[in-house]
Amino acid sequence: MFVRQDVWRLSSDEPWHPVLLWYGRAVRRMQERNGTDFSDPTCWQHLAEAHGTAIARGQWPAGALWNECEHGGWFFLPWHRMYLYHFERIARAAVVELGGPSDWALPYWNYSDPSQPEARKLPPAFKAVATPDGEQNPLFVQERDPNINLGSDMNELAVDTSAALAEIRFAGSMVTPSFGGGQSNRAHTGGLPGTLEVVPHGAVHMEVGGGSGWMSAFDTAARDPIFWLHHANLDRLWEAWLLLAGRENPAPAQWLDQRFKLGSGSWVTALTISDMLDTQAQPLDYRYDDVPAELVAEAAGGGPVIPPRGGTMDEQTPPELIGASAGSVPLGHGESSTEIDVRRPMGPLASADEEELLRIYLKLENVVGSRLAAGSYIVRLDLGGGAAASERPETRAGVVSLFGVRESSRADEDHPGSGLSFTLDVTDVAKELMRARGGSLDQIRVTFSPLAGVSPKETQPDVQVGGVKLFVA
Amino acid sequence: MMLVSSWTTSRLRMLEWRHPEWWIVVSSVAAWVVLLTIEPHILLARTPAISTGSQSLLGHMASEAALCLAMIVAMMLPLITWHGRFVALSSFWARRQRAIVEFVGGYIAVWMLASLMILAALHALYPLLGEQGTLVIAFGAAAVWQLIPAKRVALSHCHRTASLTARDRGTDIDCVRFGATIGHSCVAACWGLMAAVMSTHALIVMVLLFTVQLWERSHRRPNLRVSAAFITGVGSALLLLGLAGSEVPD
Repeated sequence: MFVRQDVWRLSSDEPWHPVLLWYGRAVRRMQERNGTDFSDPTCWQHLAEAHGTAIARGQWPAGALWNECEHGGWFFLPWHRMYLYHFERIARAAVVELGGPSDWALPYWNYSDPSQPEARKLPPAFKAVATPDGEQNPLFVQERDPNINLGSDMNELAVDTSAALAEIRFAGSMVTPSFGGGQSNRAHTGGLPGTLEVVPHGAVHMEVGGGSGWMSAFDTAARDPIFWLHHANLDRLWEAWLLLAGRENPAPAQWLDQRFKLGSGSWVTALTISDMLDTQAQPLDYRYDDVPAELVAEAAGGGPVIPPRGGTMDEQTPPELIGASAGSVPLGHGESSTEIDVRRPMGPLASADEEELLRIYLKLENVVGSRLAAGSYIVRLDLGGGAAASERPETRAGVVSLFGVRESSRADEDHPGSGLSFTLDVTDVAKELMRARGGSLDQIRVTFSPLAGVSPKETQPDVQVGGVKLFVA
Repeated sequence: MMLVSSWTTSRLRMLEWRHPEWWIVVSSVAAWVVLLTIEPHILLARTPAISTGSQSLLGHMASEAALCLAMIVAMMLPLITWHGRFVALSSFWARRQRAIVEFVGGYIAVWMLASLMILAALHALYPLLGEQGTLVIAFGAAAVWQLIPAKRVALSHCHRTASLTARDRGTDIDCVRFGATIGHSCVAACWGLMAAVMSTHALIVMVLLFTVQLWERSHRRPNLRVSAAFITGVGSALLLLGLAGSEVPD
């Protein structure tokens, strides 16, 4: 069985650990196969374009399955699991071809590891311009946020896995947040992403890619060798989440029987999701060297370390709208905000016990734009203009990432052009505000502030949130 | 009796909560039933939809418009149940049904306009080409449209969403506009299929081409060459079996 190892544990012993050395050599070998039209299914660019591409369909090599990535829905995790498996097999074959170990496996980047002070930095082998033998380093790319390549930490909120791991359900709905994403048909973009897909997934993409780097766009992300280690970590977090009490994968055949296909010629991978649920069984045959210690403790019977949230309400009893913004909200270099008048629920939830049953969700709809001032935004709630300053405990509700906003705002045959949408579970924050107001909530203000600016900066950002809505479930 | 009534009320309330878009599906089923029961002969043979027969022109146009409406409700509404649900859940509780009605109204209005234009085109072709010639043109156009990139773009746009105003007077307009927007994308994607159906008015053709629509919507990147071949096959079968051009028994 192949074992995927933590890149920072490898790097802290040896910046150019053999696993990374051979990864670099395999990347170079795959890049040498690029040719002019990327028709070799084992070449670097062919594999990257399979995720997303800006190359016009008419110019694709025969049989290419490109622009296939799944975002904004419950196929995000399984599709990327297969994508990693497909890539890893090809990379391993390159390692073996070059005389390397036949048990080579892709490492993962655990940027959330609290025991590793350097975890939020790019691992050294990805920052070095040259390899130890003096050659150009294939793991280094210029097309990143310059600060990341200089050794800056990513923002700690960008790598915070607590909200994702706290989700109790894998699949959500049009409104309900979830770990793995909203139920939908296959879609390049357009649905509701799972909490993990937003943070750390999207946020890390934007922290590494910055304003115009490869990692910050669907169409170019997989060109950066760090992409694969980032997604290996997300795949590992899926495994970790399943260890927590009450968490399980979806059961509907619509999900389990969904088949994905990648590659062409002699390098084709075609699997259903049910083929990929046990990573330690054939055909995948891999495991991770570690899952977060607190999750292992919980799985061993130590009780819930990460309290589940989400309750039992789901798409069968859909949330009710109780407040909406009057219009769109720009996301620029500074803070922006909108106020929401909150109504009491009028449907069956009107009689629900607020303390025990109600979940409160904040939905950010149709975030569109092409010029970004920041990669991610912190979303805060407070009591709005009507409240005295003393009763305005501004509280952080979550982080949203703009990874993919450019592509999903584009109306073409792969994107409906609706942009990104997000739902945050703001129950705890909203209840705190309610307490501050003596038990009722008639108005809240939603504020967006950049997590960090992107570099290079856009002078005239055009990103806006189409609408902000508050739901109760 | 009161117990049954209470149970029914509770069930309906739960249905309304869980599936506010329920009546979109029910309307479609009803339209299929109406098409089958009012005009059972159209199962396999074409109605005299294009020739005016003994009816007055006004009466003929009215019956044609009614038939168009039934076809749109039967074939097209199932494609927007997701949108109906989206519109309902994006609206305050008291406005859920109104929002769906407005959305569906905007959608149907665009489709009705398009259907009447398609019908007018078929009327223009009929005297020149006859029934079989008209059918060949309609099915040919439907099959060729499947292969044109604009079809893929339109199909993608059918999946779009919008942030609907929820709290002021713009709400009604937003819902109608969103319905019209989706209707516009849907017409751009499926006008050819509708033309093929309207050239025969045979229920079996409606069913077959309806399945093509459902298949297209449920796949991320459907192989439209397959659906083009299927449409060509259906048209060819109609010609070979002599269903097109056969007179409807009274």
